Amino acid sequence: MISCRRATEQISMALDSPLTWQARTQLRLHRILCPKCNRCAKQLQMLQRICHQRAQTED
Amino acid sequence: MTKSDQLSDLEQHFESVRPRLLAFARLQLQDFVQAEDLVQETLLAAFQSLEQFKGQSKFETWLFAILKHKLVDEIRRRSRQIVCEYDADKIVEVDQMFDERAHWVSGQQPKAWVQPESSYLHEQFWQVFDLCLFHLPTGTARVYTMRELLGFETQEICTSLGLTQQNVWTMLHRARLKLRGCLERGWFGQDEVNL
Repeated sequence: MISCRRATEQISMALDSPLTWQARTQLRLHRILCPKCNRCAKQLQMLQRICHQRAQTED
Repeated sequence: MTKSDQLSDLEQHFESVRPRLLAFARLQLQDFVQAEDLVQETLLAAFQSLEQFKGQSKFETWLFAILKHKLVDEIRRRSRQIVCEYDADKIVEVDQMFDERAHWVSGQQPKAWVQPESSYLHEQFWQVFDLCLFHLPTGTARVYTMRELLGFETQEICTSLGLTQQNVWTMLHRARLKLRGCLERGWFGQDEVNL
């Protein structure tokens, strides 16, 4: 299984570009087994969403 | 309200927002003088198109939107002229989040957030957010802002700043984890701290 650090790298990368099938599978498995990284993923996704919302309201 | 009242009102508005506009422009350009020029242009443009300000958004938000467009133009124009230092020494802080087996260190583990997603509606949230952002190393903050607030794709960030794709991914990863931790302490975990 990939490490937490590697998992967070992939969580971040997935916010910028689609992951490869292999990376996606590794990350999915890690998130099922690691509540901390799963939480981290949700939080980083939410931060991206609210930043985009902010950027849009400024347009 | 007389014309001169309106003008002095406007002047006051401009002066109160100017430092924040300037800080934001400096973060993106690093060039002090140019940042000031751009803010000046922004205020001038705002003044010339005051009738377009419908008042549906906050005045400050409207000024930021104008500045943002100017910054995007400027960054694109200067593409490849700006060289962004890749400050490897600052990686240490993210290193401290993980132990030698690359697992979360106990104090750094993401905690449940008590504030809802609608936080973005709070002016105060963005003050905390900006503070966290300004605590990041300049290069990291710039890359993050370009990506998440100015809407650049990573490829364009690479070209503009002369960084490799891997550099940009590393910087974004670092920025996001540090911001996450900073916001958890400064906003999302607040109630927990108070208990």
